[in-house]
Amino acid sequence: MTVIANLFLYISIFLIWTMLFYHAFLMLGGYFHSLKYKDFKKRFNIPLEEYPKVSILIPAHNEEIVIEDTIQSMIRLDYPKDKLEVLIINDNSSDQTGTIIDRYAKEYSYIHAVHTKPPHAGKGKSGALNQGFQHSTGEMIVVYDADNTPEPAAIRNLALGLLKDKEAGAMVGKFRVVNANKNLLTRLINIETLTFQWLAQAGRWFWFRMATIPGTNFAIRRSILDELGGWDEKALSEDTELSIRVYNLGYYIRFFPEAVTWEQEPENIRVWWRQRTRWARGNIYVILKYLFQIHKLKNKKIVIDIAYFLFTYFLFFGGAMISHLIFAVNFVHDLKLSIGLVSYALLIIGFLLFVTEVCLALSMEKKQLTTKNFFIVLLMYFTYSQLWILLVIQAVFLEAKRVLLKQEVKWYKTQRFKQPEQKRNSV
Amino acid sequence: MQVRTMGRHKILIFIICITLCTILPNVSVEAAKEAKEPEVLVIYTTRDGKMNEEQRYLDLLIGHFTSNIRFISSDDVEKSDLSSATHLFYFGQYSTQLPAKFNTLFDEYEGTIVAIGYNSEKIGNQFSFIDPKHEVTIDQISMKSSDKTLDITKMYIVEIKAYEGSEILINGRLKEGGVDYPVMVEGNGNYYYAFDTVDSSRATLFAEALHDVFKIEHEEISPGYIRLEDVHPLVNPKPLQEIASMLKEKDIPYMVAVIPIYTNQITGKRSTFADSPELLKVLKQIQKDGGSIVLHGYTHQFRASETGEGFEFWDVENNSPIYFPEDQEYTLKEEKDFSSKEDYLNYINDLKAYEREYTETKINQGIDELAKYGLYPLAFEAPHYTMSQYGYEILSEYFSTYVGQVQLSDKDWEIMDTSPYITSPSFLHGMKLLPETMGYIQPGVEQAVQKMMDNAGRIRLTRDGILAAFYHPYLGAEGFKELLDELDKLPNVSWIDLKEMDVWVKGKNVSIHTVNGEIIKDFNRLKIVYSSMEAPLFYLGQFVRFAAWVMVVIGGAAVCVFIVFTFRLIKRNNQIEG
Repeated sequence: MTVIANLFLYISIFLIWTMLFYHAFLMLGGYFHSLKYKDFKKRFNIPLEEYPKVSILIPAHNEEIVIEDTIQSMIRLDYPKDKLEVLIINDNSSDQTGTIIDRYAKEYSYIHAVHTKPPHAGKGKSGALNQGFQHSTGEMIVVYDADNTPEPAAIRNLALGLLKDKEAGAMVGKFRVVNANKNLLTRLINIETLTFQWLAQAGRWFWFRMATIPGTNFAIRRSILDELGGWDEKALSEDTELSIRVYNLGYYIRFFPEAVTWEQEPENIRVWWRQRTRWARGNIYVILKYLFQIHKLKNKKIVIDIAYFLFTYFLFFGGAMISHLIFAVNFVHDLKLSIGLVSYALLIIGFLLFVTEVCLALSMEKKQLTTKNFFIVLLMYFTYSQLWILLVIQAVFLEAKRVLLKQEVKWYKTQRFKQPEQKRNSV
Repeated sequence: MQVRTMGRHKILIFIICITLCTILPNVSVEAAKEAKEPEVLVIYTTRDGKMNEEQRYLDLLIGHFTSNIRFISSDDVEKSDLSSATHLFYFGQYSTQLPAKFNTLFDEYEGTIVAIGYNSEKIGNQFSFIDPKHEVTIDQISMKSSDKTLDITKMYIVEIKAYEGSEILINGRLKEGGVDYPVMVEGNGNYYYAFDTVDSSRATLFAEALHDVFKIEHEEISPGYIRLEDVHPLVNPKPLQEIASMLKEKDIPYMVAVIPIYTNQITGKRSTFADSPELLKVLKQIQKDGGSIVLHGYTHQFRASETGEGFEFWDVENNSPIYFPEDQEYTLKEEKDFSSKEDYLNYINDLKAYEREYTETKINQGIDELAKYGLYPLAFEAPHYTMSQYGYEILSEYFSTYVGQVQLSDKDWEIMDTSPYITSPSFLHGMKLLPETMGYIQPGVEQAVQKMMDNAGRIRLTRDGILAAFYHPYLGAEGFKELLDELDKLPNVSWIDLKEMDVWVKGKNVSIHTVNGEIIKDFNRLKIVYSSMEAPLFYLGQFVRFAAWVMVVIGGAAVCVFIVFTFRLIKRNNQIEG
């Protein structure tokens, strides 16, 4: 018993700390990227007629609460409208979404409504995106979720970035949380998203020229989508999947935080749970899809990300679970762990790393590293982060069940919340 | 011309030959004196014709001067047996008729003869310088040539009349009567010793006198050692550490008797050094400093008993060597239970085969278990000093050095004794015995230290008697300090450092020997370490703890860097806004 407990504790410590150091390394890259990413913009000084034609795809399935704000933000975009095409895909909505889209489509020539019809309707986000893509004509494709309100400069930054960086297959912008101050959960999510983007996205971009295409606020070359045949409709997280295929063509994906969009985050834990479970399952799907064909991948860089996902979803969380379990058991029954004092030092340093990394990420945004947020970060380690462990357990369980029972992929749409007129800069 | 030249050559050769012939014999005689060990033959007369503890004790004494000792019963001895012996001992343990051949057995013998006990008058006329009578009782013996005196418990000796021309070396006395009796007498180059038993309580002066018998003048320096006893994995490292520091400070080398496995009597749980990293650290430091590790068994137990309490190489319940597995009940058979001698011998061989296998396994496991953790035993000490004669023979294939007292009979483990000086008796088959002579601090015993010092006084009646004591570290460092202070007062002591002696250990998997104070070891480390799970895990744990501290340092550095970066960004943000 003692032998096994010790062995497992050593393994979990190794796994956890491999991840912690990798994160610290990424955070360092994120910091460097934050200092210099704006230099890229200097290349954007080109005449309007050379701007590329952009098609914006916005899949919408029962989005009546938010779609109008989103369309409004499209109208406000600072991009030549003759070079812009906004395709809003009304995917099998049973609410007023279709009507709202049609209304705007009538009024603005560059706004188009795409209504999906069976058998292509209600197949999830990937399906909707593929429908929209078929109707699009732009040489750059930009995707937004229906709850997004991009800043006016966002499209220009994405499209010109892609135009000026021939090696980039896709250009990824930054997203911010519009309802960050709504409640504790949205504050936590806000902190999480900022940290994720500065640590994982910016950090990976800086060190490896890698970033993951998120579900929203990114531009991709039409030629690439043509070559790839659109989105993988079986993938639960179509974005991660797409990223890997883009790398595989030999492109990199640039993270360019100058393109900013604002999006809603779940305001209650149930919605959060379902949304994150979907993401986690999506990433597990990607691991399983590519892990056993790594040798077939043309761009070996992807291994870094596959390994990262593998580490995150199986090994890191596994390690965290084991060490939690061992500490719990040790509390009731002395396992005679031989690790000694250093385990406390590790716990403390681990906690401090978390806090300082998150604080560093927050300090990259204006007015985010507030006293209040600082205390929320302290709290986050013991609550929100631990919740992720449970979430991953469920995701692994559901994915395992799906694979074993050969179930079909079910798309769960994130519930939207009506936002008061606002205020996005007051976050 | 030619003839003259030849003549010159002849003269030259002649001179060279003469020179060589005159020098060489002297050289070779000197060399022979230096190199040649005395060759001792002991003829004994016992009631059953077999050797017993008395002869083995004599073996201990003679072993101080030579390792070339043969024992032969007076029933079996032939004249040819005497031919190469330089010294001949006759040990008559009881008064009896000797075979007729004894009348002339020693007639042509030119070496020194020592007769002990009875029947000296029946071995030719070599001992005509004395006349044995009946027995007398004495309670004190003293050296004639010095003031060395020893009080003994009342004991009878053979009363002799020493004729003129003989010299009394040791005198005996009954104190209340004030009458003296000769105990050891020399005449015509032969010696007579009037006791019919030899053991450590009375033979100290005899041991001293043997220097005269062998004409070997050892220096008057007492070797000595301190042994820290019964150190097993669950021993508290703190007092051990304190004692080690004390000894290091005084620059006294010492030994630590280590039992590599501790078995819990009730639960049966085994603890190894993997369970006691602190203790192991102390032991390794001890090994590096002045201490030497002595293997004190593998578990210090045979049947279920507490480690450090039980016997390991003796079956106490049956008071016999270990002939059967611990859970097997048996009654030892005797020769009369067998129809033929051959059957009986086969039976004995089977028993010995088991004993050999058991003993070898334990020895090898013990050596391996220590080597696993970087501890290298240089000598062996059987738990409770108990081991059969065959056990010693087996052990001698593995160790060159034995520490402690020795069991002198296979009939009863309690028949054990110690030699007053370092010795290589024949029953140890080449092993050198570093005898323990002073005893130990027994908790609850009054004046324990004084009793040990009294023992030292007795041992010191022998010119190079060894002063060896042991101490259980669990009794605490304070008690040890008391003992050490007294030991330190003993003059003319040379503390033994096993590493400085030529010792070797040849385990099945591990070989160890010493060269100029260095421990040289030869073994397949991986094989030894991976022979059980504890050691690899222990080393893994050690590595993990080290790696974990490295991670703490790197992680701490990262934390500092992130804090600095955060403040730089805050400052930058403030500047932009300002």
